[in-house]
Parts: sequence; structure tokens; C-alpha cells
Amino acid sequence: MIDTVQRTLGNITAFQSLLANRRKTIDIVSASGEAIEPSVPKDTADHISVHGLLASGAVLSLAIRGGKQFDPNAPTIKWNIYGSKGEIEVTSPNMFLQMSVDVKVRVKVGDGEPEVVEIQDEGKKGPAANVERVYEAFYNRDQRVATFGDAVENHRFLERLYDGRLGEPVVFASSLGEEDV
Amino acid sequence: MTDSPRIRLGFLGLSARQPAAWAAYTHLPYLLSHSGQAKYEIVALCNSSLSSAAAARSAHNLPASTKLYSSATDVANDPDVDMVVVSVNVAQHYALIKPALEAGKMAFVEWPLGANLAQAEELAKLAEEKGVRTVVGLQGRVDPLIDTLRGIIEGGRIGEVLSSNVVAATTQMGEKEMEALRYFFDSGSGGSLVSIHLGHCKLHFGWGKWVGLTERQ
Repeated sequence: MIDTVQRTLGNITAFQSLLANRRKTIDIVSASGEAIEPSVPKDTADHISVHGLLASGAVLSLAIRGGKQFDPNAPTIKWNIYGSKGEIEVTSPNMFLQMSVDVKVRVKVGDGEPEVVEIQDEGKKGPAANVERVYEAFYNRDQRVATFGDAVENHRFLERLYDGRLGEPVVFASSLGEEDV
Repeated sequence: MTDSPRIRLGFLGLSARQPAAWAAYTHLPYLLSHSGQAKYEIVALCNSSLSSAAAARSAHNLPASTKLYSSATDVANDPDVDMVVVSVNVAQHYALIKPALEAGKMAFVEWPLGANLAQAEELAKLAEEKGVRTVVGLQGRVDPLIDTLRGIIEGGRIGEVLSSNVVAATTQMGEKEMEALRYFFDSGSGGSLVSIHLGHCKLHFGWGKWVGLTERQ
């Protein structure tokens, strides 16, 4: 059943995206910040924006850019799920939410005060926590584990963002059909 | 599952380097824990050279019986290895895991699986032909955050989901970058903010499937 849910639930039914490489060169430095090689050419995107529709009709919008955040003490990621009666906000100092670094979830209903919701993680947090869960899930044949087949689906989505123009400085792409991506 | 045999691992990409790289930092704590050792056993290390494999074995206090390899084919063909784990930069994933699949071994590869779609498709097809179980390091799939969010949404607290909005700064690929991420500069390597940063978080932002957004209507 879980497998069916994973495989048949729609992701985005339609999207438009923009990948842009705005820093054509970046200095490579050592861990202590000393120059190793200046102005190394780069042909991968450092700005990513996607908007689209989920199968439910919900609107998705996403903007990711390279580099540090404005305020070093602020989260690097803010994810809001906005509902008809309330809103969820997820933040973390690490945009890789699966690394479980100080991820905070708050819910606000109507005009009420935001309420912190504890993540049901049995106290296991940090970058190793979900790697452990992957090993445990694989051992227990839990079908949530991503297989190579699932990876291909993910690769396929990325390929559609590139639209056959990998390495170009600006790539607009769109997929407006009914097919899930 | 207590009577299941332990899965014997050949591990590619464990280094002695400090500060600890991904494999040492995130895979080892579990694999060397009590519950990890009940289910898995690292029986072999494979690095770019035998000396770096030996250095890793020693740095992480692995038993002297842990075999050392410098060839992905040799470790894949070791009859004591049930599963091969590849935790190195994506540009090398394809070449390092293919011998394991050919040998009929289970495979764990970090995300992205391949440097491009064609590599990933070929590996997935080979795994299917050989009937081997595979896993890709997309840990978002088992992240309890998803269940927590799902619980809030399915509990009806925020009503119907109208939209989902993400704004993020990656930290990486700003004004300066570290040597270890040089491969992010080359779209041919398969490593980039698109493949790795967006590729991982696509699961979270759900684009619906994991937060139940698509089930509600």
C-alpha cells in the first residue's frame, strides 16, 4: 500500500522553472579561507526557481540561491505550507532538512499565536539520524526506502528542468501537461 | 527480524581525513552502534589505494580482520561481501557500483545515483535484471519531519492546503568555495545545487507526495 501511494500520488502536475548561473567564476579557497585558485569557471546554476501546481491544486513556489543567508543567525530555509485556516512554517539553519539540524516546526491557526510542534523523532536528530533510519528501513524491507528505480524518477525530473541544455547559463523550462513529474 | 543474518558490507568512500567526511560522519555512527552491528558488519573497505584503506581502518578502529581493497571489482567479487556501499563524489558512482550489481550484490549509493539520467537508468536496469535490492541515500524518504507535517495537515488544523512556498540559501556556491566542492563547478560531474540541493529537497517539498497534499482532494 505504501508502495502504491509512493508511486501513484502525483507530484507536480505542471511547472515552470528557471535555472541560472549568475556566478560564472568562483574563487576556490582552503578550509581556513586562503586562496587556492582564483576565478575558477563554473557552468552550473546557482539560482533555481520553480513554480507549479500539485495534483491537489495547491500552488508550489520555490526559490533557492547559492551563497550564505543575509543574517548568519537566521535560518537558511523557510518553508511555509499555507492552508485555508492556518499555516505551517518549517525552518532550519541547514537547507538540507533531511539532515535534521535544528529543524523547527510552528503552526499558526487563524489569528492565534504560533505554536511550536515537536518533531516525532524520538530525540534522534542531526545528519546521521536519517542515515541510520535508511539502514534500518532497508534491513526491515520498509518500502519507504528509495530504490535505484526511485532515483531514476528523481533524475528524470532534474532532466526536465535542464530541458536538454545542461551547462547553459540560463535555462527556462516548462511542463504544463497532466503527466506527473 | 532478529534471526535475520547480518548484512556484510564492502564500504567504498570511508576516509581517515579530518574533519570527518560524510561517510565517517553519518554512516559510521550507526554501523558501529549496538543496533547497527546487530544488522550490518563492515567486512571490507575499498579506497583509491590500499594505504588509504588501511589508514581509514585504523583511524576508525575497525577490526584488523576488515579486508582492504583498492579495486571496486575485487571488493564486489569478494564472496564475504553481501552489499556494497558507495559514499564518494557523484562523478564516480557509476563506475564504482556497477561491478557490485554485476556480481549480484545489494547496493547502497548516495544521491545522486548517477552523473546523469542515462547512468542512473542503466544502473537501475542492471539491478532489476540481477534481482538485487538497492537503496539510494535520499534520507528525506524516512525523515520523521514528514510524518509530523502529515499529521498536522491530516488533522485538519490548517484546513485545505492552498500553497507551499520555499525560500532557501544553500550556503555553498557563494562568493568563495572549498576545494572539496570543485566538482560542483562542472555540470558534467553530476554534482550541482540543482542535482544535490534541489534533488534532495524535492522529496520534502513534496511536491505533495510526502506531505499528503495530493491525497486530500
